[in-house]
Amino acid sequence: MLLLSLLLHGALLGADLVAAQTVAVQAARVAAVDDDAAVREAAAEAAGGRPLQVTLEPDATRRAPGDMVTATVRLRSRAFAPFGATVWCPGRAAMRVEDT
Amino acid sequence: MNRDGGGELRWPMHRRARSDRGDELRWPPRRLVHSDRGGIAVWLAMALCLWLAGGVIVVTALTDLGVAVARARGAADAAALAGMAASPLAGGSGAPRPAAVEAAAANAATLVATEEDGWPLRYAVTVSVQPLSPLVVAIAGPVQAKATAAVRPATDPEAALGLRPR
Repeated sequence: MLLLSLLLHGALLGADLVAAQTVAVQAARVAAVDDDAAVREAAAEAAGGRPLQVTLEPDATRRAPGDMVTATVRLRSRAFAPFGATVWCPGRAAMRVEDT
Repeated sequence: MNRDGGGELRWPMHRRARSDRGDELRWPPRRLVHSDRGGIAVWLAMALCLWLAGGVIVVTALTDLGVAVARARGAADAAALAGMAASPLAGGSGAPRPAAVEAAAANAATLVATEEDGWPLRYAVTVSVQPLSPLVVAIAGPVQAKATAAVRPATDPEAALGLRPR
């Protein structure tokens, strides 16, 4: 039963890894046209309220149209939480900054 | 007395008896009996381990495939938008491919095809992402995704560009 539970949590972790990548794409998409505050708001909404860390490179003050902005996110997974483990799922996406 | 005329052994023979020295006798002797008790547990344990190992492999492969698909979609989106931004209608250089290649590479993807049929109004790209797991690569191969970006010309371009009042 314990092994079966571990397997189910592994599947949950896989789903969260895909979700983290989706959140990163969403964050990069917003970062291409808006400032960092809007990015964090959009990423938090995409993450469904789960704990999230977002890093943007470069930040809004140094972004210029034509540059590539990279969003790196870490989404806290619900997997393995009953076992006392905290797992952060990484995601990364890049987008060209638009001329708004 | 038994039917052979001697001893105290009684039918059935497999019942317990005592020897002259008081030792317990069994027929057939215990050491010669082949017991299957516990065998099913071993087989169940082995089947469970195999089942779990298969489950781990399947879950890992599906996760890898899912992440690769998500990365490919994001990369195709970024590459198509970057290429479209090079459209002269959007104030770009007119060469979409370098921008699309750069955007795909920034997302760890490879640009494999472009469609410029509707250029400079429309630009489509296909990108490829390599999954991390060799098993997924062997079964599904690289994951490809296609995205299209387009610009919609303003009904009044001069007004949109601020060349004359609306």
